[in-house]
Amino acid sequence: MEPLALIIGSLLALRISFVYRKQLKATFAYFSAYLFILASFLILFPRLRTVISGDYYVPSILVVQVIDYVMLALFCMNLLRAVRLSGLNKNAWITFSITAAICLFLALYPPAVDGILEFSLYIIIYMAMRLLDAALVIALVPIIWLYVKYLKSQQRQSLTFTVIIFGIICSTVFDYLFATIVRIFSLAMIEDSFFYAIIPHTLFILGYFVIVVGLYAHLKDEQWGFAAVDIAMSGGLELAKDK
Amino acid sequence: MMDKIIENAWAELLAKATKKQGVSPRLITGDDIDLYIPQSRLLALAESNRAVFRLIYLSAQESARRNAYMIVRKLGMPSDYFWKFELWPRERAFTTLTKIVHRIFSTIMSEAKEGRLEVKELTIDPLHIRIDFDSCVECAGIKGLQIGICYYHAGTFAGIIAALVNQDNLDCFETDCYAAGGEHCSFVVGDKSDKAFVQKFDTYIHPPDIKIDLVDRLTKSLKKDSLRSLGNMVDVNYLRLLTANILRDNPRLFASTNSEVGHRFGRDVTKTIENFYGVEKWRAVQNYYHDLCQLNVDIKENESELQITVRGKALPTDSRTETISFLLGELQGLASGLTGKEMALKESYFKDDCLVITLVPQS
Repeated sequence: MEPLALIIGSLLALRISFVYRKQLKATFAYFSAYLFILASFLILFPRLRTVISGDYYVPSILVVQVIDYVMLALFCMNLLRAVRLSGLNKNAWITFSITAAICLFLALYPPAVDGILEFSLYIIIYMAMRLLDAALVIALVPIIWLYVKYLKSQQRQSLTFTVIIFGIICSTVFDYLFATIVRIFSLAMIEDSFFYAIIPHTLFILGYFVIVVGLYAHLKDEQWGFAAVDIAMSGGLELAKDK
Repeated sequence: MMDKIIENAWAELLAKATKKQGVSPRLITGDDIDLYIPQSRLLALAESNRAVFRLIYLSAQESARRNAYMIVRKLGMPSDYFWKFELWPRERAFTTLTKIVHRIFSTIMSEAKEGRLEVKELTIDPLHIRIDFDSCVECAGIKGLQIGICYYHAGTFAGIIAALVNQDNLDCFETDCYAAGGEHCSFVVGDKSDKAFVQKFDTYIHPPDIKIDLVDRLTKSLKKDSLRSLGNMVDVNYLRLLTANILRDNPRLFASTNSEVGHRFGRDVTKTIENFYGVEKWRAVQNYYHDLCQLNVDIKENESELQITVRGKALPTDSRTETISFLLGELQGLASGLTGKEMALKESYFKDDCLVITLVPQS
């Protein structure tokens, strides 16, 4: 289900990229790439475990993950350029700092307590993945902040685009929380529980589903809007004042 | 107050376009007046003060922007319909904007017999939208001018487009006008950040003095000459919009100016009306208002005063004296011209949907 939702989302985002120019075209193109890489990752990597030898498997996951996060970062950068907002105020910096502290603590503290920190390739890659996950959430904070500022500043916001952003935030936060839970508690403790199986998958699918719904509505918004106007102009709907 | 009149007029025009009758008790089929009436009111004022064109442009722009926004919301168009319009490809922007403008605003304006609105060209970087307006109510029947005179519609188009694409920095100027020898009126809506556009707009918004032969124009209407393909009549709401937009910024000041200009105008057209109808003088005035304004005027004359009772669709719905200031001045001018004595306004008031005016000879 998860890869299917991601692939549908990727195709929709790609389609949307053709109805815009400049930064918004790039925004949706990078988002499409991000979703596609994530879908491919979920489909291919469990199957490649037997093909790629042990020494290269984890680094190759890391490489793909880095590329995927780069796509998400480019999506965010282009989005902020499209909404023409930059600069954080004091409250944003405080929120950003608190989030950064919590995320870095969650990324570094459990391994330190476990006493596994040592200079080996495996540990470096392992820590790099944890820090990347943390960095993703930390980076999302100013983006969300600026986007909310944009929503407040505009008379008219894109509801559908806000749904997409909400879906991205949900899926990223669910992903991070799941990774954190897995790393705080030992795998043996939670392997058979709802926390490991049903709940995270349901939440992931929910996040991706929100993204897909947002993308589809964004694509169809123009058609549905015109249909509403056409019906109202033909006298088929009561005008708001008459209701 | 003027904003409320403007809002009601837009709402009635929308109701007519969506085939919904009964929004206002006055809203019945045939709510039309001769287009000479709004033309003469605006042009007589603009002749006396060329800044009026700028005033009507700005006022129309602001009120059209607010009302266009309300109209599209009423019609159920999503608020993000034109989200990030500046980042749309040209083809999509042109097709979508044309569709919406045609379905909503062209329908409203055609129904009101204001003219036929059509989006003809669009470029995105920088934003330029060319709009053609055929059978324009503002200039039909007027010829021989060096400049375009459709400032109300230039402001209205700027406001409508700004409301749709959610951009504050738009203006509009007229590139071609029927009054200046064009086949139809053409407008360009553009971005204020474009220097070439701003230069042209500045020239447009500061026009030179104009002189229009309104008496000749009146003769055409009295003779029922065919002036445009949409006919010689226009919805009375257009007159309301124009009047309220003129008065919007400073109702008292412009009511006083309107009255003075109306007085002069009334005197100027006296002979034409008298000669055209060739009947008893007050009968000629009654015919004039009935034929062009759909107003029934009843005049009672005695030695000391002249009592005029006016009823009809072209009267303002709000019964405010500011909105009838031109009519009051015009009646004074006509009465002065016809009696040979300078007539002054003694009183005017609304009673049972009628306007009652008393004029007395000026001592």
